[in-house]
Formats: sequence, structure tokens, C-alpha cells
Amino acid sequence: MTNLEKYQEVLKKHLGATEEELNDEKMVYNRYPKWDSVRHMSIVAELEEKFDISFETLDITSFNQYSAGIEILEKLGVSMQ
Amino acid sequence: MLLFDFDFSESPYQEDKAVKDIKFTEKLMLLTSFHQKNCLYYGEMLKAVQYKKESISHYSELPFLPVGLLKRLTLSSLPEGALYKVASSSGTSGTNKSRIILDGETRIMQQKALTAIGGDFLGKKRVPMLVIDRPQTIEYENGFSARTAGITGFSIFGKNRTFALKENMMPDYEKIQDFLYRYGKESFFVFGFTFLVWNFFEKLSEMKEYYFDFSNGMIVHGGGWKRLADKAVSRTDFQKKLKEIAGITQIHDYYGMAEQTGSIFMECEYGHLHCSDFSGIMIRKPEDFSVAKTGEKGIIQTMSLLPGSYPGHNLLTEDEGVILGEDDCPCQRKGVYFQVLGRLKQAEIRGCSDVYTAD
Repeated sequence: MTNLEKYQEVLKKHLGATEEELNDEKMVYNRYPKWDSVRHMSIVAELEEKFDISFETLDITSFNQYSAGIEILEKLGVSMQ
Repeated sequence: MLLFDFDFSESPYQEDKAVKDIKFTEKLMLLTSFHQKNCLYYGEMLKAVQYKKESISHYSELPFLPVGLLKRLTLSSLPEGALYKVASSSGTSGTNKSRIILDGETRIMQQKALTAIGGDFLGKKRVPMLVIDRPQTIEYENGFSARTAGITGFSIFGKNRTFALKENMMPDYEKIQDFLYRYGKESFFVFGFTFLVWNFFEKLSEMKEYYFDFSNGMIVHGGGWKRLADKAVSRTDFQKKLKEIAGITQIHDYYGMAEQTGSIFMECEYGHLHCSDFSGIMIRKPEDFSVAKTGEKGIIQTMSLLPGSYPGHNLLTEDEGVILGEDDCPCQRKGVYFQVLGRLKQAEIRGCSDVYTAD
């Protein structure tokens, strides 16, 4: 499984998202029905564990849509190609 | 509706009195006009007190609502059909609970403001977090309470989040030992509501055969002293006991309410509660609601720039407090700093009308 797929798996698991919804139009924090602050922290926790990384507080608040998650993971050294 | 664009990456304790008087007045007036236009009830109330924005020169002159009103009315400034969630206050005055209408944008503003405020004390690097509560508190079936909001909001500062209490609210001693064993040698973060934190450390102290070393921990607690005041526990007792039991020296109280989530008032290392650039505070005399001077006791009024989906930006609380100073706290943070003295003697303020003006 690629890192991108692992990332997508986490979103699917916590938000119940489908493959088709994995884009910036649908996957927006606090707009996608299930993506609220409680689940947000669970997603962050699982990504940290999966990739052995550590989000800074600002990373958590700027993780506000599908692509932002990819950018942050890359910034933290996870290859998303 | 996003009214302001804040820079959340900056310290939220920068505005001195000269800047704050102008900027905060401007923004709070904008919020007042916005809610006047978009919340029917609020508009009516401002009409009743003959609010005219032309006559306002300082934020202290703006109209405010008694917080109890939000327990009786559900106020919204959202357009019809807009998505929202309802947050409820912990309801310290009997069974009445506020119902706060929050849209996505207001919730994001709340989280970002809380991150900026808390980050000024806890830093940007996240450290292991022990929550003095049970995991069930953040489960949805149990509703979105002030405790859920507090834990979730502060979770941004922690990782490896561990809940210290079992479902029956008793400490999970093994889990706590394990947490301290893994993370206790470096800095960690402890969060909980004031009375739960107190009960927790009382329980730990009964375990005579163990010592729980919290000396590298920083505790942030909030939610009020009411239940502890009933047990006659003062702030000094609280700090002394926590140090005795577990070696904790870094303790920060915060003052905040579900009606203005996010723009909390954190206690600095000198024991002063601080206004941030997102919030304002006034003390009013109970006899005529005029503004009290620094050092004079009165009713606490809190202002917040965050509420965009409901008119809760300017509230008269049911708490008594005193302003200690402005811009000159030894901790270097700019802004007003104050102290909360407790709940007002009469449970809820009831005026002849539900809105008060400053003049």
C-alpha cells in the first residue's frame, strides 16, 4: 500500500468516506458531515501513529481539506508520490 | 459568515490599551451590527434599548446580554437552511442549559483562537496528554457538552492522549502508572475540569503505597470553582495540595464559558487571568451596571470576537470579579488581567428587561 493509499484509508475509516468523495470539493473539515473536531483528532492521532510523525498544533488547524492533509504529510517527511 | 481574518500564528497578547481601544471597539461594533441585522430577537432587543451605533466611541458602551438569556432563548444569526451544531453549557444554575448555535466557520474560529491562546502557554510542540476524565465524555451519544468541547479543543496540544478515569469516574491507576512510566520523565500535559482534577488527586493521595510523580506535568484546568467552593477549597489549597500529592508546580486555571467557547481567559504564571486580543472584559457595579474601576469588585462582563453564528459576543455573566491591571502584568502579556471571585450571590441576574445598556 502506498502512503497516499494509507492516508485515504484513514479518512475512509474515520469519516466513512467513499473513494469518490476523496477530493477537496467534498472532503472539507467541518463541512463534510462527519468531519468534526472530535473525529479530526482521531484522524491526526492515527496518521501520527501510522507514519511515525508528529503534527505541530498549527498543522492540525491547517489540515482543513483533503489536499491539505497530503501537503502536511509531505512537509513532515512522508513521501506522497 | 466570516467577519474577521485573524492572524492566528501570532501571539494573541499583543494589543496594548491604545490599540485595543480602537481595534476591539471597531470589531465589536461590526459584530453588533451584524447580529442586529441577522438575528431577529437580537435586533428587537437593540431596538428596545434604542441602540445607535453613531453614539458609540468605546466598546464599554456597547449593549450586552445577560448570559442567562441564552438559557431561555436559542438565538441564531444564520440564514435559513444553514448547517449548524448545538453546543450546550454545563448548566450550573439548575437545569437550565444554554443552547449555542454554531456553524462550521464559528467552530473553526473557536478552535484557532484556542490554539493561539493555549499555544502561548503550552508551546507549539505537542507533548503527551493525560485527560482527567473518562473516554465516554467525548462520545457522541452523550451530547456535545462543555466538557466534550474543552477536552476536544485542548487535545490539539497533546498527543498519545490517555484518559485517566474509568467509566465509573474512578482513577484507572494502572493506566496512570503506565502513562507516567512512559512519558513522565519529560514534559507532559494534563487537562481536566477543576473539580474532576481535585477529586482525582485526592484519590491518588489515598493510595499511600504509591507515589505518582507529576513534576514534569503542566496542568490546565477550567470549568469553575463552584463545586470546590462548596467544599471550601480555595485556589491556594488547590495549588498546595497538588504540589504535595504529586509534585506539580505548573498549574494554569482558565476562565471561560460554553457561550463563548474558544476565547478563554488563561491564568499566567503570576496567577492572573488574561484577556487575549480576541476577548475583552469589563466589571460592572451591581447596583447600576456602571463600569467599575480597576480594583473594584463587580459583575464580570465578557466580550468575544468569535461568535459569528449567534449573538453571544457581549455577555454579562453571573460571576463576580475584579480587574487587577492592564498591559503591566510581570508575565509581559499585554491586555487586561483580572481575577474571578466566584458566583454572584443571587443565582441569576434578572433585570426589568433582558438587555442592559452601558449608559
